[in-house]
Amino acid sequence: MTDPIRKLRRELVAAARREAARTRDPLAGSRRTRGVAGKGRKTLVLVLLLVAASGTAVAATQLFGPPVHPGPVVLGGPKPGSVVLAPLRVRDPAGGLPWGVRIYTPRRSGPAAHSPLSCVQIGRVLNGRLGVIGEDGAFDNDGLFHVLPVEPLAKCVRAAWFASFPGYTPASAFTGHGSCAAPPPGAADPTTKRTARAAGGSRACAIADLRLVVYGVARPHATIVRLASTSGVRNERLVAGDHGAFIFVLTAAGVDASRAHLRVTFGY
Amino acid sequence: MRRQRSDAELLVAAREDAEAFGEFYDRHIAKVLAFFRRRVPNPELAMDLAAETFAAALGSLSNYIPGEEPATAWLFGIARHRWVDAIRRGRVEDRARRTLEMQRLVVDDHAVAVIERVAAGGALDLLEVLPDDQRDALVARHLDGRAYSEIAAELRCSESVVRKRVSRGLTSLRKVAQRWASDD
Repeated sequence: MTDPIRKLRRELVAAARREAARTRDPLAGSRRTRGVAGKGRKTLVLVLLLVAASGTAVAATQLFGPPVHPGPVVLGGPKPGSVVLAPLRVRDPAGGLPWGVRIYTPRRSGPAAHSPLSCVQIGRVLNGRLGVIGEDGAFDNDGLFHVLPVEPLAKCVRAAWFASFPGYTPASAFTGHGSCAAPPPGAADPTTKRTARAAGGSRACAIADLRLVVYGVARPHATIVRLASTSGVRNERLVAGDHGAFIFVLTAAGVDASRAHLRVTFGY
Repeated sequence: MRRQRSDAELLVAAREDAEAFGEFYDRHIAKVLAFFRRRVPNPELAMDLAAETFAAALGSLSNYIPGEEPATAWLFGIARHRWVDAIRRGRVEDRARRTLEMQRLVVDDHAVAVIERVAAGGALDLLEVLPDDQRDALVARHLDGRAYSEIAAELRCSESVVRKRVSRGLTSLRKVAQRWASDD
């Protein structure tokens, strides 16, 4: 029988006692610092044993909400075996879950003589799954991670070599129902009511909640994609597993989307 | 009879008196748990976040400066940061607890029941950051819609005191709301 409330109190009071002793005797601080490394190893073993022996350790992986609604099937759905979540991961300017790209080929890709049709989805990645975060108005701001099925919010393009989709996106990565409105890329001020109405939303996203996301596909043999913008130059080195997918994520504040441009290097 | 120390006094005293922090914890653990329980899907996560919040508060005692805002606003500011951080990272950090060399909590079925019971008893909204006297006056006036004279009679103080408490409560709420908004 455990009472976690009392247990935590004991732990906190004991820690407070140690902190108070450390404040009175500054040398105790350095002793503590040195002691952590040695004690850490023992604690690690102890914690692992506790986790293995007990039913439910306090863990932090249960942050999933219901998945994003799949929506109607378009272009016949994804061709079996074509769906790939690129290993590419790009950090968000505010930290947290990284951004990722999923690409696939739809069943109705058109005549074989034409360039293949590729569909691209972006989102945040948690435990190898692409999804969106319930924030910025999405999912009633539940704060949970919502897995994104293949298809919703995807953009498809017939591109032999290169295609890119620059645009403003809420940090949640969700642009569907409930989300704050992200303006079109050319908006002079991304946060005004006018741009929110133009984007079909009732509330414009706060500038801090907006990202300028530039993503797409560059293939075959693309090795480096470079984004030059008013906030500087960024390079993304592509590997075979990326299937040509790339993504850049910038803060919306202080970046002029109309002056951002891409350069792709192909290696043969 | 010894006067009950305010939250701010407890936090200042806790720099040297560990039991003062325990008293502060006793007063607010239910509210903090309730705060997280309303935002995360299970009691284990709520407890994990609450533990990290109090550990972070303990680790930041030297930075705490008593001011106009209630000490609970400071505590819930930390709680909110921990919650947003967990969302962004997809997991709950345990950095504050590791720094303080605290053991990790293990939660069994009995513990889950205790957490749920305590969290339910600490139902929270923004009003919870206010000191008791301001909260009582504000609730009586603006939620219950009672007259100042009636509230004054019940609280055994003058109407002007009630008005002052309501006014201070609203000011505090506004500051807290603004700070939380700017934290987002």
